[in-house]
Formats: sequence, C-alpha cells, structure tokens
Amino acid sequence: MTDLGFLSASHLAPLIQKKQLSPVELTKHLLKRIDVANPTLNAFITPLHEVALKQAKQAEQQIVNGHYKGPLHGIPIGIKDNYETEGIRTTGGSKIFFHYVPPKNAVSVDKLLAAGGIMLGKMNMNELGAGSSGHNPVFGVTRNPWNHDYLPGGSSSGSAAALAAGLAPLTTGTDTFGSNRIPAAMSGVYGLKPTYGLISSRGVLPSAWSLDHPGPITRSSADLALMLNYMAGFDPHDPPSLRASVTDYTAALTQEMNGMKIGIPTYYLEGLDPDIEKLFQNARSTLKKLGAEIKEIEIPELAMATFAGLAITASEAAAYNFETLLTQSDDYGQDVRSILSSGTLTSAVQYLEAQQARRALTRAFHKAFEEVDLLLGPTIPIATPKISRKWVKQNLDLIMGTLPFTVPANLTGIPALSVPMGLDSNGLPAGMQFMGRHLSEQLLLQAGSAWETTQPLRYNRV
Amino acid sequence: MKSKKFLKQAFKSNGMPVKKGDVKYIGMLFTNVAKEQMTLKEFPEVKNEVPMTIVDKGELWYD
Repeated sequence: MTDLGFLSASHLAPLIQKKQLSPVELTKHLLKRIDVANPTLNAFITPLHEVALKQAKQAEQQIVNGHYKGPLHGIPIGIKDNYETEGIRTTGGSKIFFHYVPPKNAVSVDKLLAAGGIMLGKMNMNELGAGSSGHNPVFGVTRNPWNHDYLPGGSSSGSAAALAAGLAPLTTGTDTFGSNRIPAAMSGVYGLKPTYGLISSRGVLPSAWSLDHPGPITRSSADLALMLNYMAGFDPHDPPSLRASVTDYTAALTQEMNGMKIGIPTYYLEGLDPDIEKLFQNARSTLKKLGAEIKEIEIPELAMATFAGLAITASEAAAYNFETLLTQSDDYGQDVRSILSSGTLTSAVQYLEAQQARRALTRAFHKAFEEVDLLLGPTIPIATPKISRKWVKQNLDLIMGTLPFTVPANLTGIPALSVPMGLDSNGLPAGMQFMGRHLSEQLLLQAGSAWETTQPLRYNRV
Repeated sequence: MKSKKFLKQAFKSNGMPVKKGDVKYIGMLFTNVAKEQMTLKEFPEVKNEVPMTIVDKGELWYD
C-alpha cells in the first residue's frame, strides 16, 4: 500500500471528504516523516508543527460538522519561504530577512488557507530566488531525495524535494527564470509557471518584478490544476495582475493528446547532454504514439533570450536590493552578492535593449502559436549535477546552464509546465516543458495529464 | 573578462563597496551579459521596438 506521504491531493481529498481519513492523522503522519527526513534533505527552513496541527484540528472539526469546503480542505501545503506568512518568519532564504515576521499573508497564502489548506511549513530555497541549484549559505543546501549527493534544483528547492520525498502533497514556488520548473525537472515532480499576472504576486518577496511568477509545484498535473483553481484570480492591488476570467482547471484533464499540434523549436535541440537528448527523443516518440502531431520549428529570436533574461534579472534584483547591498553586503551569500553587484553595473541601455528583445521574442512566440498548439523542449539541457563544494561557482554556472531554456517563458509571460521526462544514467530525474499561448493553462495541464499516463519515471530510462 | 581594475573603478565611482573575492564572479557575470548582448546584432529590427515595460496601460486613466 502506498504510504500516505506519497498520495496526491486529488487522491487524499475524497478520503477526507468521506471522513475515511482525518486531516489530523494525515498532518501528524507528514510531520513525523519531516522529522525523520528533513535533517538530511533540508527541504524545510521552518516546519510548522503547532500551526499545522492547529489548522488540521480546525479543518477536521469543520468537516465533521458538515462544513466541507472543497478539495483543499484538510490538505497540508508547503509554502516557499518567500511567500509572506502572518506571524511566521519569512526569510526568502536570506540573512537579510532572517528576523522578518510579516504582519499578513501573501494573497496566495490567504486563498489556500481560506480553501481549508493546512500550512505545513516554510520551504528552503536559493537565497532570494537567485539560483537554479538549491544551495543556500544560510540554511544549508537542499539535497535531492533521489540521491542525496545530487542537487534538487532551485530556486524552489525545498518545495520540489519535499514532494519527491513524500513530505508534502502540495507546495508553492516562484519562477523568475525557471525556479518552479528547474527543481521540478531535477527532482522528478510537476512545476507550473502560469501566465504572467494570473496569480497575484502581492506578499511574495520580489526577485525581479517583471519576471516573477508565483505558481504551484506538485506530484501530478491534476494537483497543479487543483492548486491553480484557488491561487489564480485578479488582484486589483497587484499591478501585474491580469483581469482574466478564471476557469476550473481540473475540468480539462481528459488525458487526451489526439491531434494536438506540438512544435519543437530547434533552439531546444542544441547543446543537450547526451542523456537528455536520448530521453527527449524517446519522449517525442511516445508523444506521437499518444496521437500528438510533432514538428520542428524555427524561432530565431530565442537567441536573444539569455541576454534579456540576464540583464533584466540582474538589474531589477539590484534595484530592489540596492540599499541593503550598500549597508549589509556581508549578509548576502557570495553568489547573490555577485549577481546583485553585477546588476548595478548593467547600463540603462542594456536594460532597455533587453526589453526591446523581449517584445520581439513575445511577437515571435505569438507567430509560432499560429502554427502549433504547444511548444515543447527539455526543461533544461543538462543532467542533474552532483553537489559541489565550490557552491558559489556551481550556482552561477548552473544559472548559465539552465536559464537559456527556461527564461523565454518568463520574458514572454507565457505559461510553461515542466513534467518528469525520465531517468538519466545516474538514476536522476530529467524534465521536459510544454509551453502554450497566454492563458492556455488548461491545455498545458491536459497535455501534462496525458503524458503522465505513460509513467515516464518508470519507463523512460537511459 | 572585464579587467579587475575596470570593475573596481566602476564600483568606486558608483559609491558601491565591493569585496575582493567577488570580483572574479562579477567579472564572469559581466562578461556573460556582454557576450550574450552580441546576439542582438543579428536582429537589427529590434532597435525599433518599444521596450516592453515602458507603456503600462494599467496606469493610464481617461476619465
């Protein structure tokens, strides 16, 4: 029998609704698992035993009294530590916010709690979201549950590792240049970066305003849809928020891929590690068998994405951190301090050229979506790396090794979904990402759900 | 990579403190951005684009 820790929220919810599973029992079980695994994995910065049990008891009481709120009621959720939480320390993975206790919750946290979710803990992350590795100089590196000698990916490292280790059924993440999708790929879980502005970023510590995307990370497409149902929605007090109608994202999980037109930009076939190349070729064949029509396409403007991503991220992050960089530079890790310092030297001309490139890239993507329903590529071109002692260099190198594949979706604001693609020759997970038109989350989740039926971590191995 | 001297002077003129050990990493990042910026040369039409963040219609009021 599957341990409760590995059951998806979509499986747990009916058990809770039918009163076959108690939220208190579930929460206690997960907290026990966290107590055993977290000293090694370092997925949680702050496990919330008391808060979680209090919320679980409250949920249980409501359900027993016949006030079942819906499929998140009584489900424990890990919250990335850059989402503000009322009365609970929110560090952003940094010494800069080491003692910061916010007066209120981020909008997304409020929504998840209002739906009956239980806050299980605050998750480890790369400092201020500035990295792809999972290294953290303050709270320690998060380890990959598949093999503790390997990185889990970042910046939402704790979220992805907790899911892979069966410590939480649902988690939140943020994605500025790949931070939901990279750890999802390296840890073998599902990470969604929604359309820019679909989920309110109010109350989430900024990394780079124009690229920041809050979103869910889970163990299935159905669970992503479930979380999106509650997290999405217009926020009049959040400038980037979209006035878009929110739909029931769980409704389209038909697991159908027949006739879906998928384009693979040739950009995503260049510079792949041999293992990634092989797994991706296998995945292409499998998608065809599922009924997808696949063709390679050219989007030359993708060549500008790395420049635009680097220049915008570094500049915006430097602007946000400028005062503390002057007064508390010792409190930043060397990797993040170097990124922020380089951002202070990015010229206004470079920043604006990056924003010009961004508009051209967005237009090029719109054109591509006239031909195909979805775009596809490996989430990152490299295999999951081992943890290096030279963590500063490794974090900076890993940004350069992963950002070119992930940042195009941040620059253009299109939704992107990373799904497990298979296992590499070291037995570590690799991911691939579907990208769609703005607000095409339903289609992405449908594709993810169809792909999931092929059990890629079991059957696609190098 | 930009010379260490150049970077140190740039920080000094901006009134920014910089740690000796950071300079090699900053130089690496700076060089990466400059190298990637060269890709724009293949797309001269990009110069005619309005930068993405300049026009924020959400802040315009007509009544």
